[in-house]
Amino acid sequence: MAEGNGFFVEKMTRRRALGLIGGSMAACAAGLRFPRFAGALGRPNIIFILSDDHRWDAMSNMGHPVVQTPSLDRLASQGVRFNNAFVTTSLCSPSRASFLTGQYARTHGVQNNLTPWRDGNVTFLELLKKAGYDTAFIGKWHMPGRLPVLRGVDQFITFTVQEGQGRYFDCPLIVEGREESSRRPYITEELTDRALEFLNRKRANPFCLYLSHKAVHHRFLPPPELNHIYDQADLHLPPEADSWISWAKGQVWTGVLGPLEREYRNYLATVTALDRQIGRIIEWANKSGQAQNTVIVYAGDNGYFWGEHRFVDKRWAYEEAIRVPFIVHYPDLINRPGQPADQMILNVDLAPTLLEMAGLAVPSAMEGTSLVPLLRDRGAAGRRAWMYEYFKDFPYNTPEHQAVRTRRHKFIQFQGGRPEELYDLAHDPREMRNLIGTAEGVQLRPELAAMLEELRRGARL
Amino acid sequence: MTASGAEIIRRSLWDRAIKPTLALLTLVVIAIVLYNNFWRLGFPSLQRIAGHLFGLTVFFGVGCGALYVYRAAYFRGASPTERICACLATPVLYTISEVLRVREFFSWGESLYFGLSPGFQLILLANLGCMGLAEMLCRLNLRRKGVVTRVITPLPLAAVLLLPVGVYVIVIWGFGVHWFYVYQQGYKALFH
Repeated sequence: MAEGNGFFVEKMTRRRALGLIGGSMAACAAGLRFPRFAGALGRPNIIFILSDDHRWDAMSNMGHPVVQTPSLDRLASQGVRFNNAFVTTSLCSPSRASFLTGQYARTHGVQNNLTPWRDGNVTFLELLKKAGYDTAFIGKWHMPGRLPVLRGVDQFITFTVQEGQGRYFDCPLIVEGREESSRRPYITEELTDRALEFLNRKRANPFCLYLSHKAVHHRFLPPPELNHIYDQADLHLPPEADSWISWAKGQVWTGVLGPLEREYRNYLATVTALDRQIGRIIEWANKSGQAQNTVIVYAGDNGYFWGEHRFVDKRWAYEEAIRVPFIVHYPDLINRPGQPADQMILNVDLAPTLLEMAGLAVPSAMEGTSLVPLLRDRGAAGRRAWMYEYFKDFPYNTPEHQAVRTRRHKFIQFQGGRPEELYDLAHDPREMRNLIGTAEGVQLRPELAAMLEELRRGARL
Repeated sequence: MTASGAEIIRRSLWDRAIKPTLALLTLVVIAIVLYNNFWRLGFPSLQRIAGHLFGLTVFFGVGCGALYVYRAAYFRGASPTERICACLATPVLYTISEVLRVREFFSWGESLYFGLSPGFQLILLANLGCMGLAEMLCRLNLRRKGVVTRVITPLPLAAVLLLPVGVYVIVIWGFGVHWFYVYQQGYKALFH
């Protein structure tokens, strides 16, 4: 680890002081929410690593029986792992837009894989750029519509093949609008190389890197050297699963066509491949001496079913689909590193958190809440409840639905006539016993329904 | 694609077309019910075997059931139209049941469009291919019994050859992504 406490001891230049004062006055005039952390003077470097379809428990630090993720374990042991991190919509495009904007899908407009990104959306990258950060977006964009000109992004490297999904091997990249061949065969390595090039640039400003991987999305292809590492492992698939589940009930759209066991082994090997590349980023932070003053956040864009509820893929409001890994590593800020947090946090919390860490005001349009208080004190109060929303996404066989998730219960309302569902997560963590119609359900439903209605109206609970 | 009437006795409509159709349909319905619900019976050690048994029965029953139905109908004297209808009954009913199922999520128009999706296209092509193959196998069978008939003719051959073309376009081309997005473009044009 680098020495010193860079975040708190960074020197204040005259220009930076004037910038902060001016920015603060402008923010007050614009009605921005001022972060509690804004008084801190340092501006950390930021590395945000986003993976695709990595469910919350597919890490060895979560006690997964098979997968090995030493880099993420290290990140968690030196930082804070949020055990109850969720996405507000369990689908790649809406969730990614939520990470970027700090807003729900209903607000930023990317509701499914058909509704395009709005150019008016403001990302945290744009706000950090205005505050003097060097910024880069490297990796998967994959939102409906044309590739945008991202405001506030100095370097934009992405891919458009396979309708923006990219390919695991030899994926052509779009670098500053021009197509370039991949220099490395495996995409996770290629994106990491590009990220390291950005990190290694000489600069006077702090930086923010948004590194967005294709991994570990379907087709779950690890590099050749990791291809069979979990072939002999006992997978512990749920009792309701079977090999051909992805062919049933319209799930063929997920593209998971092979036997479930084979796909799952490949998925886990792809997670390990991703972990290796995350290790390279951590190593860079340590070797460059910037670890202390660099925030590293790792998160997944949504969870994934591997047979639970007889589903593959994501979308539904059940825990497997909505919970994601979320780890924050920031030695300058985090008290008691290695102690996980159990409060419920959301993907929309990322943008306000990073802005507060950078000492910037959080726009009132952002619907998330900064995690800085939780990073400082794992005993701080978290949210009581939050709303999950899923919008129709033809031809995927999931009804539009909304849910309220409290610390103990989940209440789901579907469109299209499917009955409501209510679960006691403390006694039924796999959500197999719907309490609607039971005495307990009758007692619980009114409060949860009222809560959901409040959240629909934009309340924060 | 008719067989010589001299060698094949034309049975009743029930026997020659409806019975083979119902046999397959019943098998598929039972397999679907068992496939979707076996786990509820509480035999976790058997779940995997049951998944293979019932899942593959549904898969091959819906996708390749024509191989059985066509030949059964052929040797019971069904006409070409009857054979084709008998073969298509199970995949078409399966598709209709899926269209009705997704009505929960989609409008009527969208649900009907869902019934035209690549998966169902593949089911149709697979059954056409199986019909073509079954026709040629039936002719071969007759020829072995001394009936003078041409085994390979353009129509059944085309039906067979259509299948690998369909598999390539729907499944292999971009691992299914390209055709899926063609289908999605159609959806956008119709419903957005």
